[in-house]
This record gives sequence, structure tokens and C-alpha cells, in this order.
Amino acid sequence: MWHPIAASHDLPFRHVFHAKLLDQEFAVWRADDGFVNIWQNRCLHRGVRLSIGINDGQELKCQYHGWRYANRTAGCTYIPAHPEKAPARTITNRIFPCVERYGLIWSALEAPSGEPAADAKLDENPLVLRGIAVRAPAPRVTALVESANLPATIFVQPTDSASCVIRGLISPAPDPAEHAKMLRHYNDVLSALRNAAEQRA
Amino acid sequence: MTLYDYALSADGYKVRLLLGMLGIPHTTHFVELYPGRENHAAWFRNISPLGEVPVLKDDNMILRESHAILTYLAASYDTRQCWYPTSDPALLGAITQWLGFAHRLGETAGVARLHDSLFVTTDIDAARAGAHRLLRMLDEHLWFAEQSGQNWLCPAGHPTIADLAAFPPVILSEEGGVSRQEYPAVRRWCDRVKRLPGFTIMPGVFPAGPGWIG
Repeated sequence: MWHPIAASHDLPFRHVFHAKLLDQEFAVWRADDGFVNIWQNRCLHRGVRLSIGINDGQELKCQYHGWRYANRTAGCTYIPAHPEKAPARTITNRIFPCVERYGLIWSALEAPSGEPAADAKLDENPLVLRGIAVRAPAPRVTALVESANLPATIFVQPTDSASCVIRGLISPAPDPAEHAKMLRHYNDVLSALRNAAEQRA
Repeated sequence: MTLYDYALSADGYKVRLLLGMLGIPHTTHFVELYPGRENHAAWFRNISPLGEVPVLKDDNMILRESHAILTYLAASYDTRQCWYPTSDPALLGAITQWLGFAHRLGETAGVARLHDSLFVTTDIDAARAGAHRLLRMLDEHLWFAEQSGQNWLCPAGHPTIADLAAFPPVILSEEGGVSRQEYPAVRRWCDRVKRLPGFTIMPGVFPAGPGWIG
């Protein structure tokens, strides 16, 4: 099943986003050609998180010993300790499925069949609400979201067994003059929902 | 100008950042807090009764407390009047407000780090919980700032000393067991601070590559 793991606006130029889905950490980065990479958040050399690495537009460089991994393939391209040797092709980071749609980045631990949010009948460019991290299990938060019956499309991203992120869309997007007010309104509504979920924890 | 400092001090790092960004020539006198406890020696207690770094000596003036040093340096040496614009009361108010927030970050995330790395005694669970409560507020503030085209803590169109005061306890939070994974807008702001001209690193702080700072 596809889950949203980030918003498109979470991936500005040369940034590395730190995501988590079902207890699996991802380093998520957009290369300069627009391609979004979702990788296991771990350098194959010494296990340091790649989410603190450097996105140079074509490659992601680990901060620890400078191993570099290529956009798209996640193959290691350079090992500074062995400057004259090409890294073996088997040195390739684990890649997770990725679709960018409706202003969100979608992923899964195993490649799902079908499209993200296939049943939701969404406009291609909805208004993306601020993601709200919640320290309560996804099923409890989902139940609260459903009972709130909001005029918005809400997805609950399970980060691990005890926490989740509420990601909402307003589809179709309202008039741009209304965006700021609406973003603030839904931030307040979803934050109150978060507080309710966390108090029951 | 002399800065009395300790390499692992997050408060000292605030001052080092501004000195670097303003390009102010100075000498550094290192005081070994751990394990040497040199900050409790009589000579240092004479200039810092609480035995704390950083301390700035400029001509005959001695100034303690990192935020006091930041305001003094910016008001004196920033010819562009960006870091602490003394002629803009509303902005000064906002800056001072966020300096208070930065202080609270030091008392939570900062103390958690000192607990884990330098064996300072504290209620570690309360320190970490307090840090997460503040980071959650900071993330919300910075997300809405981004939405309105602002990239920094205060609505100035450029960074101020408030950003430099808040940055060290945030970027070092993981040394105290406080992850920033739930705070994406905070992580983007950290990238922007790292990309400012004159930015310097310290142990535990990695550089950013070139990129967008807004």
C-alpha cells in the first residue's frame, strides 16, 4: 500500500529529507534533474545516516568518509580511500518505491500495485496542508480523523508503532487568496486532534 | 578582542558563528571545562564569577552571557545593521523574544546534551520532553514563516542574532538523544543557517553543501 512520506515542498533545492515509514528510515532527496530518490537511511560503509549527507544535485555524499551514491541507481560512484578504483557494482544502496503526486511523495516498503490514493478522486494540484507529527499509534489517530469528518482528504502515515504523521489535502485547491487562512485553520484543527490523540496515550 | 571559549560549548559556538559571519579579528583563549575544570580556577572566576564560557574582552570591557555578547558585537561591528537592527523597535522585540526561546532550548536540548556527553546531572527525561515541546513549536513557526516567504526566525528578510542563538542547541540536539526527524521545517532552516557566508562548524556539526538559502 502506498503511504505519503513527505510533501513535495519538503524537498527544496539540494536538501535531504529524513522520513520514516513503518519503522524504516529513509533519506529522501531530489536531484537537480527533478528525480526523487527514496533510499535506506544508512551508508553502506559505516552505517551513518545519509539524511545528514550532502545533496550535490547529482549524488548524495556521506558525511563520514565521503562515499558517494548516484542519483536514480543509488550505486556507489566514489570511495575517497580508493581514488583509483571504481567501486564494485554490488555496492548499491537499497531503493524504495517512489511516486510524486498530489503534492505529496508516496512510498512503500514493497512495491505496491496500483496508484497512490486511487479511490480518493483528487485534483492533480490540491492545497497541501502542513504535516502534523503525532506521538500516538496510526490506528487511533485514523479513528479520530474519521470521526472528525473534516471537509479535507486526510492520510495518516504510520511512522512506527507508536507515532504517525497526519497529511491533509484540500482538493480542489481553493482560491489562492484563501490559502494562508485555510492552512492556519487546518493546522489548528489537526493540532487539536493530535493533542486529543496524545492525551489518550 | 579576546574570546574565552571551550570547543564543545554550544553557547561559545553562538559567538563564534557571529564573529565568523562579521569577519571580526580576535584571539581565542581556550578554557578547559571538562575534564580540567579550568573555568573554576581563580583567574577565570575573576572575569566570570559563575565560571561560565563564553566571555568576551574588548578593550577594557568584559562581557559574559552569549546573548549579551551577540547583541554587543552586532550593534558595534555590523555596519549593515542587519544582525541586530537597533533602529527597528518591532524587530528588536521579536529578536529578544526568540533569544528567550533560544535560552529555553539551551535549558532543555542543551542540558540533555551535557548530560549525555559531559555527565552533567539532570532529569534527562524532562529535559528531552521539554526539548521536543520547543522543537514542535519551532517547526510550526518556521513552516508558516516559509509559507509567507520568510526564511528566518524574525520577519526581517534576513537572518538576525536570534537565528545564531537558536541554531547551536538545535543542531547539537541529537548529542542529547533528541532527534529532529519530526521537524522538517527546522531541518530546512538548519540547512539555510549552514549556507550563510562565514558559517563555521564545530565538533558534532556537519557542513551543508552549496544550495538554496532563500
